[in-house]
Amino acid sequence: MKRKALATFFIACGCLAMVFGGTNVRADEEFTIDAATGYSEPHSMDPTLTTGGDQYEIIVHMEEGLMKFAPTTEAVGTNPEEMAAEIVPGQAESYEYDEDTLTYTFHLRDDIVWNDGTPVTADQFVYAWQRLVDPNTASSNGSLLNAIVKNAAAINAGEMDPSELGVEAPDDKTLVVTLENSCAYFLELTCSSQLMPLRQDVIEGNDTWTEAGTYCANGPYVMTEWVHDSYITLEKNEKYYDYENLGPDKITFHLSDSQTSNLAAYQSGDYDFISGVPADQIEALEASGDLFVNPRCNCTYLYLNVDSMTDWRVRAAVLLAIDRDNIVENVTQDGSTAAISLIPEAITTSEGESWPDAVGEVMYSWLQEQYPDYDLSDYVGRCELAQQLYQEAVDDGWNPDTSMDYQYNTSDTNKAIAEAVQSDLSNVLGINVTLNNIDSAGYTQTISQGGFYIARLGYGLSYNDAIGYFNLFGSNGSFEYSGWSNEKYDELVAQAHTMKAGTERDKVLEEIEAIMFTDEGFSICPLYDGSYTYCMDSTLKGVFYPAIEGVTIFSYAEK
Amino acid sequence: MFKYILKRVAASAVTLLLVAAITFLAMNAIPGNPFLDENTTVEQMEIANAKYGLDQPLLVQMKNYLLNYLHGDMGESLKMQRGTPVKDIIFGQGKFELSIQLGVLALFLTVLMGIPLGCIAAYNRGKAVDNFLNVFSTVGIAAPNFVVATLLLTLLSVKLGILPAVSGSFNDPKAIIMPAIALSLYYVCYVAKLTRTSMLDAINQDYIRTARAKGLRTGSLIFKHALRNALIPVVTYLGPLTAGLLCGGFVVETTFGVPGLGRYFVSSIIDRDYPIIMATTIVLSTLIIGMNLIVDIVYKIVDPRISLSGTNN
Repeated sequence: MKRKALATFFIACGCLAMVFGGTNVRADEEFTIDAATGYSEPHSMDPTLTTGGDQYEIIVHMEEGLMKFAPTTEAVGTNPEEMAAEIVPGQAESYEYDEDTLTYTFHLRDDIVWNDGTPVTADQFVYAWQRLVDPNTASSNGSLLNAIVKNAAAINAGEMDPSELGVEAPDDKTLVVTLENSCAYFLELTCSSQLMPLRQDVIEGNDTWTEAGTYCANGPYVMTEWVHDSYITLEKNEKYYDYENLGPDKITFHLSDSQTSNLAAYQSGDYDFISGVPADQIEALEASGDLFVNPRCNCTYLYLNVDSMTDWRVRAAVLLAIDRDNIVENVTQDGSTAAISLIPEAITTSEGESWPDAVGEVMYSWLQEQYPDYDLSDYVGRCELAQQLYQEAVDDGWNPDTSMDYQYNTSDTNKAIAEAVQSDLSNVLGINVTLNNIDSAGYTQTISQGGFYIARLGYGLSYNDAIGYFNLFGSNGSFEYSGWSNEKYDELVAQAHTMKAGTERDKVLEEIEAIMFTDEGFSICPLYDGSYTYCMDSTLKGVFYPAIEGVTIFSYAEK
Repeated sequence: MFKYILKRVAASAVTLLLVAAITFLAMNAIPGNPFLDENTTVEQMEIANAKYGLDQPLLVQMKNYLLNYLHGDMGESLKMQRGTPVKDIIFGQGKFELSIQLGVLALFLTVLMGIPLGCIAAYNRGKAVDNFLNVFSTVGIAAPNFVVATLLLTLLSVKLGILPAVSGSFNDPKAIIMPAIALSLYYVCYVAKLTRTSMLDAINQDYIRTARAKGLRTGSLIFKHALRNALIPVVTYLGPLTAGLLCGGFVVETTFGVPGLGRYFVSSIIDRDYPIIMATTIVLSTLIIGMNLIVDIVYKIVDPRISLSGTNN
């Protein structure tokens, strides 16, 4: 009797499995790429509302701006098969600008249509740009065009109507943009997802237009399926002007932030590409030749609060006493590089040289001049100077028993870095540091209120111009949380905004950064430059990587 | 019985209301805002707050939430696919069903493995089998499920290659195996321990001794007489366990890439996506309250000593 019951149960289980299960259909002839970007479900696929590289990675395969990224013949990072990217005309066939670079005129290609056959017109760009700056859109990138395109700041602050934005479409194929300031990186900006054209007729009145089926593409691929929290599948866009040259028939982006299972899927051959791998696997994967590292435009730094650490020597001592090599070699372990400048490697000067290479160890150069007896190119020498400076500050009345707090937003890496800094400051300077973690959603709000000694933050820039970092700090800085201000700094930043790209402007930018690391500064303490680690099937070729966006583009991949 | 159930349902409704109210106040008490991120100014956040009604007094917002829920409207998401109805996010594309499938299988495993293992351990008390099961269940309880999940992945998927690393929507029937094991291992071990303890209690009761003296066979003794009494603490635990299994697969779902509901319990709070926090909490509370109600009724069947109305003992 019991056996019968048991048998019945197993049969029932079998039936359940059959009901729940289905069959897996796989076509073998297609060239498909399965990629995991290392992120879970994107918060939004609306180009105006995107907030991160994970979303841009997918959007850039489907949408195209006035300019676009194209592969070069030069490799990037540690993989000879992954190419660097350059900016070339995209939906715009050509463009011209006036002498002051204040008015840009773009001429759109004649053969551009959306995947549903509707032509791409200039007023679709106007709509997208106005929608971006409209405060009612509540885009976190709403201030992207502030101080660049005419009236953007006033519109974004709710003081002017979006129709006043300095962008017009005199006819279907011409777009005229009026700038407030000569913006050295304006053409790069037009590659960003926020400035890609949008279809008013699709978006208005449909809150779920970003789903497969209604999502319109004017770029190389089109979204055919989106299983939320699982994957997004793109297929070649037959209406794309360069359709003939496209690579994979199908690209599937798997939406999982579990590095362990992404790696397992890569190792078992299910995925062709994964970005982000567990730190403890990096060494083994590098040895097996699967793992590659690319530079990424991201700098992690500490705010040293000038209201709490009033003596510049204390701040300089903290900056000197941190062992950055230890942090990148033993803590992050992901190919990040120790910072020698606030500006990461992926940013270049107007002549194309990597910024840190061009300006050198700007963090220490002023100190080196003032204290030539110490060798600041070496950590030991830096520690000696740190102790000397700290002692001088103590002699002048700084209380050596001051306990400092270190604020960070909750994450394992941030915690491990905080502990490394804590131990360095204790060992080198005898400073007692207490760690305080804050949930990410409330983090910037909390540290913006000040009152701390040390707080961490990372900032990634999506255009290649050092000024993006300098905009963060000083009296007008959008991210000035350390209470620092400097007239000369503000002046030079304002000046750099009005200058055209070139060596003269580079000099001004260098001068700006130099001020940050003199006795008038030391409110920002750069730690390390981020990296982009990935594993890629060795048979994949023709993949390219715009370092500034930190995304991999598969549109022209070959196998 | 009917009157009792009616009373319990009414009490449940009040509990649910309280849960909703407390969740609402708690989620608004934590700092942060769905529209605040690294690039947002406070002015931009305030404009967005006004647009989505977050600038209204808390009590007004709470009233709106509760009234909308009574009409079956769960609101619209503020962060995850902003503007999408919460109902679509939680129940869309079979998300809820996936979590239910995984939970039901894990529950089956828990009951079908945990209870017999507990009985075997109790019956062989002090012997090698008992010792082995004791070590096994202690390890199973102590090992966090992300460790179990990673071990399973490495062994079954990377080394042996017999199961897919990414389970997805269980299109491949084999895909559900690893998530179900990872999700249920802790509970299997816990239930085994629980059953063993209460079974030992039951075995030493006078009526079992009498039955044994009367010459009843061991099998019938254990499964028919002792188990019925021994199951009471287990059944008590099964109520909340069921709800937990159905919605609690955050780690397992993330590790195996199952697009279920579990992750939203955590991600909505990190995002401060208020409407989704409310929805997930209310769905989970409804399940827990419902399961507890069922458990109380099952008691009556398992143990005749318990009277539901409380008047007749």
